[in-house]
Amino acid sequence: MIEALDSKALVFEGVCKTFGETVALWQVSFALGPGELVALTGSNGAGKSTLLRVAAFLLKPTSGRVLVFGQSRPTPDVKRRIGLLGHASFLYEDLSAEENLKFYAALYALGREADERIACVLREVGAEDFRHRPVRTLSHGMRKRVSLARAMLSDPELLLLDEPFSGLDVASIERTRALMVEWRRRGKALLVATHQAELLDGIADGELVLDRGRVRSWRAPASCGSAVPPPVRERA
Amino acid sequence: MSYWTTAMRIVAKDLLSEARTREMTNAVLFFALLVLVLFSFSFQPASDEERRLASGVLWIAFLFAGVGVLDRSFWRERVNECLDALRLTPASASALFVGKCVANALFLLLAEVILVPLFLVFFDLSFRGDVRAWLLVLVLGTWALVVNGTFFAAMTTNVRSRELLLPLLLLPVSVPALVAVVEATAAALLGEGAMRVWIQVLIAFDVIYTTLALLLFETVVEGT
Repeated sequence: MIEALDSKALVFEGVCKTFGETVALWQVSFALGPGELVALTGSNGAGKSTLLRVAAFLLKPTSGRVLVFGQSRPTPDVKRRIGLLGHASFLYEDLSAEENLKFYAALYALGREADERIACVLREVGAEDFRHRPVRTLSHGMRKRVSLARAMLSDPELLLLDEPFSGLDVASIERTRALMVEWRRRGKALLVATHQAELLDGIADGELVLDRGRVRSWRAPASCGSAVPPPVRERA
Repeated sequence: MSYWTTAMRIVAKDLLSEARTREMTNAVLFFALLVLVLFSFSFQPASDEERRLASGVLWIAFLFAGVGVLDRSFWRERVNECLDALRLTPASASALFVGKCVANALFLLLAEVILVPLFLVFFDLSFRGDVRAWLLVLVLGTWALVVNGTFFAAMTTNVRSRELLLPLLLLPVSVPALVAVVEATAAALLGEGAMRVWIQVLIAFDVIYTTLALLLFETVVEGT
């Protein structure tokens, strides 16, 4: 069982997260393997963003266990393997898109590969044309693309995407969907929180539905098999 | 990537951002200058006692400038939740802290380099003591303000009333350093007194609080 969990990109075991009296997550259990894409859905306040932040080690769970590639602590190696696209852009307003990426590339210690990697991710997300523009002058959709490029900078194996389609035009949505399919094909694990679950139809392997922090339903990817901890149903 | 390279990347990023906007530099310089001008109208130091008082005025101006610099230092990281993005990277938290401290110290030293000549002109003063020793006091005193201020600025970055909280936390902790810099500046202006002792106090203060801040910073920026 332990060996099986270690092979997973992300494992949640009975994870609870509370903020004072407020329950953000309650007994959440699921697993996500390499090459799988799971849609994370639920209404506003269901706990989707909190779950992603816990998965990225930005928040500590109140109880339960989170494993990323078998590790329960955010070691530098594990951090390199996680890419998070958050609600906020994570970009510095006064710097250009390229300057932002260069800064983060340095913190990820990409070294000589940095320029090549930056060019690659900008090309992938279609942000080459405005790479020299200050972030403060970019539209919401443009920022989203640069944010996605930042999340992809270290070529992470686990991608946590919070509302990747919001504010994007049709062409950008199609491009993002195509990227997700490509990333999944390359063996990356994707957990995608969205209100537009229909945009993941045909590409998502599984779906985790949250309702007020509890797992309402969990459709596991076919490959998960018995290694997936059983989801805890909503308590009365 | 080495520890120092990470820290210097943070410094370069902050300097570039500030060079583009000059939001902080302009506001801080204007405010500190106003303090000096107002005090220069209220008294002109003729006696040694008044010269001693003038050294306090200079450090009040630096303190106001420092609080302005420090208050803004984590503002850039708060916009678009960039602090979280920094936490996502494998970079060491203490390297981030050192980078922010060095950037803040450079901003404050820049303000001081502009303010000191104006202070000497407005108050018709000159240094009778060892100027080089006083420059060391300036650097050590600036670091004393910056190291605690950066730590508390990080601690209060997500607090609603952080503008109020930062000086409330910073000033009491900085009292020993402030006493040392004011006494050392008075000694430099008067050309008498034990500047050496105050330099030793400042070195001890800086070593103790830099060590504490480096040890505790990761806990401060970690999530709840």
